[in-house]
Amino acid sequence: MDRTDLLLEQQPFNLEKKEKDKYFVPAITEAINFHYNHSIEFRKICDSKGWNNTFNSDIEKLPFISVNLFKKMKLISVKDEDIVTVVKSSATTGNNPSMIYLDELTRKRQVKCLNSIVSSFIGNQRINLIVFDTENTIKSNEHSLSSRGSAIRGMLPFAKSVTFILDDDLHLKTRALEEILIKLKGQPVCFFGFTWLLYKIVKDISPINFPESVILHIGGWKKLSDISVSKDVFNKTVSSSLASVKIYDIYGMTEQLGTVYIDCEQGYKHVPNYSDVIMRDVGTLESTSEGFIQLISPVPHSYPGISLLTDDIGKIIGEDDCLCGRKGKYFIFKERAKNAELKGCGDTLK
Amino acid sequence: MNQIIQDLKNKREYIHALKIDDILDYLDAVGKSIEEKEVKNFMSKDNLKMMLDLALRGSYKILDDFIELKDGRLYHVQPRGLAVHWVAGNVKTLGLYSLIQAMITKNVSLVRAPYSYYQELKKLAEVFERVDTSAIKGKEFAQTFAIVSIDSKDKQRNEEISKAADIRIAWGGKEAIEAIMHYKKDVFCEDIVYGPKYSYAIVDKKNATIESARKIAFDISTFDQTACSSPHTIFVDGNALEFAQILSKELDKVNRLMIPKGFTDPGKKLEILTLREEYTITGTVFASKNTDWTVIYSDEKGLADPCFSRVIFVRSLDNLKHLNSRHQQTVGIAMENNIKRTQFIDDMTLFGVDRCPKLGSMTLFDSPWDGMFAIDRMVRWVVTWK
Repeated sequence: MDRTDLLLEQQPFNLEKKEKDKYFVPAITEAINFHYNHSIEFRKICDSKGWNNTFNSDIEKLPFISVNLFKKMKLISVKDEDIVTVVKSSATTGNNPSMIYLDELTRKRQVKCLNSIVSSFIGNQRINLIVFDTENTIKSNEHSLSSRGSAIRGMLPFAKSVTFILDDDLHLKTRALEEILIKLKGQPVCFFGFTWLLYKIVKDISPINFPESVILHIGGWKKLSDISVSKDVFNKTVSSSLASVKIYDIYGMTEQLGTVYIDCEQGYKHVPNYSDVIMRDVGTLESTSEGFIQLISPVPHSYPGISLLTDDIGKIIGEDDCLCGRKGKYFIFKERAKNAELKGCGDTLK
Repeated sequence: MNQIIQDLKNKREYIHALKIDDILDYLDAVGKSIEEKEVKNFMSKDNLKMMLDLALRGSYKILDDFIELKDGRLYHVQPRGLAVHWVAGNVKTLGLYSLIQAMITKNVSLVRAPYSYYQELKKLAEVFERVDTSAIKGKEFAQTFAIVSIDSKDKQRNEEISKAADIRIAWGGKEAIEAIMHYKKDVFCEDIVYGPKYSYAIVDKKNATIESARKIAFDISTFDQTACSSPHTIFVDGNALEFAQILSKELDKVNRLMIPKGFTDPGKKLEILTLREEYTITGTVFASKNTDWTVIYSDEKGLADPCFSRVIFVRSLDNLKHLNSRHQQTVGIAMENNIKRTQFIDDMTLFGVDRCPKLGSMTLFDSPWDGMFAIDRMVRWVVTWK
């Protein structure tokens, strides 16, 4: 068993920093050495940042690559023939989607991670999953899958039953919803969907009374913040329509699937033992309490996505002392980094 | 808005009655009260007189009098009327230059500024009010122009000023220009469009020096490449990689000692970081520790997609003729041998490119600009016989 697999054997939120480091540091050291030796692109970037391939457990010194680099080039650390799936991001920040190449090992690790993290929030019992999406989303096209499809697939192991309630044009299948609600009456239900899509549908439906149900949503806030829908507005709208007691906002990205960050009862996103989060000052890029969110995880094996600088801005709130009882760092997502439109008379080539 | 427009139109006879020399003396005095050296030089009487002479068939006095040109007839120019300027936020002085050109052609002006630039322009307007000359009272002259802040999304107001315009002068990127061109206008309204344009520079073997690099560093750092005349790609005839390194040192010096980089959006910073990583893999990158400046060398051909924000691409010189279209504006050139240079420029500019200044002066506004003498477009020609 390698060190990452040993790390993934741990519970997600039970270790204080010192204990976590015993598992996490060897795993990330092994991962960076592997990618440094197996990805020319990653090695060039590490070298350009003065990385001398000697990791002394100082996580802040780990070189990072920008998450948007996956939109620009193919980055892999294994042979092409080992790739089993390509996951495409939803391309909200640019024209090109990220292309993430997964081998069997990475895929297995992602599933294991996601299972551990999600079940620590919603419990181990299998649930009735009502998905605000179309079934076609989870069908892969020549081994290629969208990030929505990948997120939904990640939830399937938790499901006792699965019902997709949108058609291929992403409109509500009212009849299907009514039927499933009658069928599941009295049973706990988990509503799941991409944040913007869930909101788009739910804001127009009549309230559904399903006590004990939970809502899980993922996919980020960009599309909703573009139309000035805050997290508060989202929560009020969704909870009044679906009458759910608990709403879990899941933060994560296609470029590092599996390690997700879920809001606890206190409203903070928790870093599991399988990853680490650093904030980098937006001016100096030095490690600080608030800035660009850097995600570090040894889970990716087939591509060098172990240390990613994202285009999100967040703030570390604390470590090991959240009132919810979970150990590890906890943080909030603040906003997507803005890039003001060009105001001058200069032109692009597009 | 109607009242502002009417008040401006009421001042047409006032500005028309002023002698051009008096206007030039007044603007020269206003220029001396403005801090920016570039603006001061632009507003000097000698410069404005030369610009008028160049654009108006050799005689700036044609604004006051009927003057005989080559065919024996008498010519005179009249202002078109109300010039409406849509100025771009990030290249502030360029918008001012079109306002001055409207003034020296005796037009009244309505300047629509983005909110971010509005306060600065208002302060500038106060300078006009404070300066008096023997012939012109600043307070009265300042009534020949008005500055308004209108949101770019406010179609109704933008169209209102567009319909009132006798000249529309539009500065900005593609989206802004297209929006302005879609507003309704009078059939006799003259459009002067500045931007969107792309610029670059060429350095020959003999000129691939520290001095050229320093001048290019100025061209890059002024306006942080948001101007249509700012270079984004440098073509080097010779060792382009070596020149990229020299340029990086000069960009660093200009940033530290002369034109420090201002605020950069976090999103732009990430774009720069991503670009640096991409070219660390496929080329060579010289860069500041933060995101202040970046020089990217690669063996790619053609014009680089601009990133702006002091990111410059250095490439080996290739055949450029077919790269050019009306989307290219300024090519800064450092090249020996005058005959070869003019032949080269003639060949290169056949399909586009309107200015080929020396390095270091790419972003200095001059006339013609974007292939036209704007001054000539701001007047109507009147002819009669002796």
